[in-house]
Parts: sequence; C-alpha cells; structure tokens
Amino acid sequence: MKPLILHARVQLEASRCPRCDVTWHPRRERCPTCIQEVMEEVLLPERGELYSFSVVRIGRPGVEVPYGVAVVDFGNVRVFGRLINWESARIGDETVVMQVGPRANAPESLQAGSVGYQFFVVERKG
Amino acid sequence: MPSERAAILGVGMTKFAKHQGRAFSDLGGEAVRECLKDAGIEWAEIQAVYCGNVLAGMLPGQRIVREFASSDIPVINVENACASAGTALHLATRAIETGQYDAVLALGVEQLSVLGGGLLPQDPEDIEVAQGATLPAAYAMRAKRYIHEYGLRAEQMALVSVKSHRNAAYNPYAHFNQPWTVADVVGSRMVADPLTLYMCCPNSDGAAAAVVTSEKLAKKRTQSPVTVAASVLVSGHFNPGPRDLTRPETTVVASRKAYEEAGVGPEDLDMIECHDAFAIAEILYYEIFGLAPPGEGAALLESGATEIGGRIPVNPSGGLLARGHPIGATGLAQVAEAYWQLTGRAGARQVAGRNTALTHVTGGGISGYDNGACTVHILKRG
Repeated sequence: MKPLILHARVQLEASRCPRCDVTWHPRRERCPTCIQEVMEEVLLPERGELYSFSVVRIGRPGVEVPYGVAVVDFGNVRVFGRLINWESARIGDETVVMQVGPRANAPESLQAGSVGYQFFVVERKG
Repeated sequence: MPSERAAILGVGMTKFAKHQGRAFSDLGGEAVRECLKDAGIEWAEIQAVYCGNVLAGMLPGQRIVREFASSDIPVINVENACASAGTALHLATRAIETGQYDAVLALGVEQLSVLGGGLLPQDPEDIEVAQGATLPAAYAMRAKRYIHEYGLRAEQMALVSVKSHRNAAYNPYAHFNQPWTVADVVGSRMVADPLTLYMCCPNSDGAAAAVVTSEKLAKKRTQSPVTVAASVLVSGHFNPGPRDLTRPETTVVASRKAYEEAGVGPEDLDMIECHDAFAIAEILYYEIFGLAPPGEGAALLESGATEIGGRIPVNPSGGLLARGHPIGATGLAQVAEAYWQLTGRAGARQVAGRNTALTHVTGGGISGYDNGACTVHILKRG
C-alpha cells in the first residue's frame, strides 16, 4: 500500500435516530425506519473490532490489486471499508479508522478508489 | 389460500455456455421454443410473458417475443439481479393463483459474454462498490467469518465445487462437463481470500423458460402435474446494523416463508437447487434451510448426504458453479432441473425421491442489504 499517505486517525461520522435508537453509517438525513428528519449526528467509537476481511486479487479494470477489504464492528453498526495492513490481520483484531489520501503522482484510478477512510489494525486480540 | 393453484406444464432451456456471436433474441427464442414443445402448448394459448434479465438493456422480453407470431400480449420485464428469473416465476405464479391468467410464460435470459469476462458490473455510486467491494469479496468475507466461528478447511469448501462439477458432467445443459478434484479447486488462482477461481461460478450465457398454468388446465393435459406449492420473494431488509455474514437474512426469511406456504419442512424435500454462486454459499444455505445445524454444513457435505445418491441431493444440475450462471436466467434453469427431476427425466443425474423440490436464488451487490432479492420456490408432483 505504498502509494498511500496516512494522514490521521479519525472517527467516522454517523447518524442516530433518537426515536428508533438506531445508528446509521453513512450519515442519513432521514431515518429509513420511521422516515422522520430527526437524525442526530454522532461519532462512531475510535476503535472497532475486525469482524471479517478479505484480500481482493481480481479487481475492476484500472484498480490496483491486491488490496484488503473489511467489515469492522463498532458495536451498534458494522462498516465496510478498505483494510490497509491486511497481511497480518486476524478477525477480532482492534481496528482504527485512518483518513487517507493518495500520493501526488498516484494514478487517477487509484486516487478514486482510495480517498476517504480506510481501516488499520492496531492491536491483536487474544 | 389462493383461488387457484399454479402448475408447471413444461420447461425448456439452452445449454449454458459462452454463446459469443449469437443473437440475444435467438438465445431466448430457443428456450421458449423448447419450453412450448415440452409443455405441448401453442404460442397462441400464452396470455402473458414475464421476462427476467439484468444487463441486456431495454425491452429484452419483447426482443424475444417478436420472433413469434401474434405477440400482442402483455410482456413484463423483470430485473432483480441474480433473482430476476426467480422473480419472473413468482409474478407468473401469482398471476395464475389470483385468476388473472390461465397460461403464462416465465422466461429468463442473459448474455454475459458481451461483457468480455471479469467481475459483474455494479452500481459505481454505491459506497461499498466505490471503495472496492466486489461480489467474490462479499462472499469471501462470509467464508472468513464462518471459518473464524466454526472452522472450515479450504479442502472442505472445495468439495462443494467438486460435487457440482461431478454432477454437471451428467448434464448436457451445463457450462462445464469436466470433473474437478479437490487439488484442482484449492490450487486454482486466488480471487478473494479464501475463495479460489474454481470456488466461484462462471459468467455464462443462456436462457431458460417455464410454462405456468392453472392446476385445472394442467390436469387436462397431464395425469400428475407439478404444482407450485410455494413462491416467495423477499427484497431484503435495509440494515446498517449487526449483519450476520454467516446467515444471510433474505434467505433466512424467504426459506421460512416458503416452508410455511407449502406446509412442508426440510425433512420433506427430495432435492434442492440453491444459489451456490460461491462455494461457501452452499454450506451456509444447508444450515439456513435446516438441513444441518449452524457450523455443521461441511460435515453434511462430507457425509455424502447432498450427493445425487444421498439423503437430500443439492444442485444435481451442477449448480451455479458448474451448470453456470447467466444471472437473469438461473432461477428458471433451477426450475427446469427440478421439473425434470420430479418427472423422472433427469437421466444419469436422476435423484431417488420425486415428490418435492426446492429452488433458491439470491440477487445481491448493493450496500445495506445481505441480498437485495431472494426467491424460494417449492414444487410438488401430484
């Protein structure tokens, strides 16, 4: 994953419906359950647990492979994203969220696929 | 209770393969002609057409139907990803059950070779697809989680593919006719860890069709008609929350509703055609259908119970893995197989029990759903 520059650990923004007590990621203006515009902005926890992951070795044209993908459990919501350090990852590992950007000379296709958040395993559990 | 029961009067399909250079309408037309011949029904008796297709663009059903005389009947085109043909059959069944029509055609057709291979196209605006989600990766993460919770060796998962290919060798309509070994499957190229290429279904071309009529009409033409005892469509529950990757929710709900509608349980089934798009899926579905407790799907497979000669044969046609997967046609290819099995016409892959069959397709690939659509049909003879 050399083309990536890790900017900072961040927390993901999400929406919580106070009526339904359900947290949604990504953020939503309206609760899909009760259809009311009463959503509160909330931050997901700094750390989640690696629920599952894989390594994509056959990807879409123009997208560099291999790359890791994961589902991270933040307690009340599970979020999909890319996984940076998949080589040593194990299910159950503690995972943080990184805001990432491409290096300046990265190909356009990679930039499109890698701007935003990615997951990073920081601690082995068990 | 519906006012009328629906019956399958006949089925037809093309060989599933790469049909490069063949016209889309020709592919669909072959399945329709075979189906009409099998049902012993004239085109003029067909009152409506439900056509499943995903990627062919505008009016796929009309492009096929116009090859036949007097096509001024309603044609309803149905897109529900890999559950499109299952959805077409669901609509056809309900139209018969409510008395809207006496005889209709359910059709599914897809030509994936025009894509030139590789991954199926998905919505590029989808937040997961935009980040690199692929369909093999979605199932790979199911497999990885399953391995974590229950333990499963690659060699065990490979047995799904080995079984499907062994069965397909006896199926003249199958995309692949060569048996594969565990070593072939495990040693093939890695697509998305832990799924290798031979644990993934091929992109196929093909078409399949069924004539659906009222039971009353079917009884005039055959002594023991195959009836549709359950037809369930579930479109998925949009949920950001704790999705359990080892128990896809749409199949859980659809199979439960189908058992209720048909008044049967897993112990009553003689065979199953399920959506084994990836080898792990068949193991998950054993458990959801109630054939094995959670975590014991692989043991069921290793026991031989799901082989053609076993207690509950699963995918005797070769399934998606070996019969192939022209996505908008698969649901009706499953029904063709179930119909042939129930009427004793499956040749070398004939299963022993000939009373009750279950077919199951799911369509996935968008975020927030385990699957965006799932159909389960239960067919009964007599």
